[in-house]
Amino acid sequence: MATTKRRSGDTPVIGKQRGKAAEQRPPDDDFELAEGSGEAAAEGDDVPNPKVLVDGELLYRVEGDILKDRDEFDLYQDVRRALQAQHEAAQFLDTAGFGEAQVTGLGAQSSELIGISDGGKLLRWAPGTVLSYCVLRQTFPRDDWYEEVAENMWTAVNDWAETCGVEFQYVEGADSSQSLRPPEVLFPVRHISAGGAFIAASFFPNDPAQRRRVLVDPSYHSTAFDRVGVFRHELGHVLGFRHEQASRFAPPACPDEDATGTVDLTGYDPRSVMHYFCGGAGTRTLEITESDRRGSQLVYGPPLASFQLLEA
Amino acid sequence: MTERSAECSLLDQFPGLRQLVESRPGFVDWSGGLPVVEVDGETFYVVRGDQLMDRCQVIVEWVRLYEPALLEAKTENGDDQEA
Repeated sequence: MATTKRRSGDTPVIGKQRGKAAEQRPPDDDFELAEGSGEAAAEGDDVPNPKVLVDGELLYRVEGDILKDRDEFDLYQDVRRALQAQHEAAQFLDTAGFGEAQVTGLGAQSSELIGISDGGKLLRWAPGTVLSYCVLRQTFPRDDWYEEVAENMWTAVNDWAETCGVEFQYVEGADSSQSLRPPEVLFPVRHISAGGAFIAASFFPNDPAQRRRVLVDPSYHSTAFDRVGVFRHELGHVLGFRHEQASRFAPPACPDEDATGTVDLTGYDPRSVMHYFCGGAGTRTLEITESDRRGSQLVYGPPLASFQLLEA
Repeated sequence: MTERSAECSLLDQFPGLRQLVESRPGFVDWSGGLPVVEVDGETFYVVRGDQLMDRCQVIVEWVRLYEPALLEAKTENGDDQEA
């Protein structure tokens, strides 16, 4: 089983790796320096991409803080142009009333989950990390609310553990902690009165450590969304998955979402557990779909319960 | 110890950008419409239903959505260009 109760967890390790150093390449005169700026722009680009010389190596900066060598930059540009063309085609089909556009990502499958990249690599918890949590009883004004949250969290973590290779651990003994950050868990689940600003909110693996918590507003207990589904969605963020509507193919009615540093693990899936309820897409059940399963397994592998695990 | 978000570190590399964005009417309108919550003494903006962002994250989010060139306008030695 990839979920356990009541045992104390190992000290979790947070995985975050930087991309490999770019290969050294001589400067290329396909790019021209912008006057007085030290910047260069590839022909046909809408936004100039500055190039910088680092230790004799010419690198191209994109998205503010990512340096790419010439090969990587060429690939980045190609992908960006192709995705833009696909997006325009999808928008055209949508506005022309041809129904749902069937457009797939580049080389991707016909479903989608969106991950986070850091330095050109997918962001995920380190293998072996036990995602331990508790439900802080003292923060809930009503016992039945605490019990509902504890039960629904347990179901949601099991749903993810049966989907991909992640391990959660419910440290029930820490529920009675008087601390808001019990040291024996990676993250606590707690009640907070946010005035309905959200139903629940969580964190990403690369968020500052003090923000590792799942917050539950009173509106959770009366929401029309499936309440286990709400936690499946929030735990998706904890695992490093972004909102599905960050996809370029999400309906225009969905709120704009910055897609910088994201990786399309699969194609767009309007029924993804990570899709917001917008533009006729998203579901109130927030189930983990088959495409969510495929996408999450690209990051975490198959469920741990599918292996015979041997101790060294 | 309180860690800072990656977006705060990113803004540190662009001196003046934070103030520039905060003076943009578009940013003022956009961020002014976001719910604000306080958690453990930290103030967060609620974006897209369930994302809690600090001030740096909100600034960077707005720039990337609406004026991405502002994050490109920096030279190798860290000098800002006219934005």
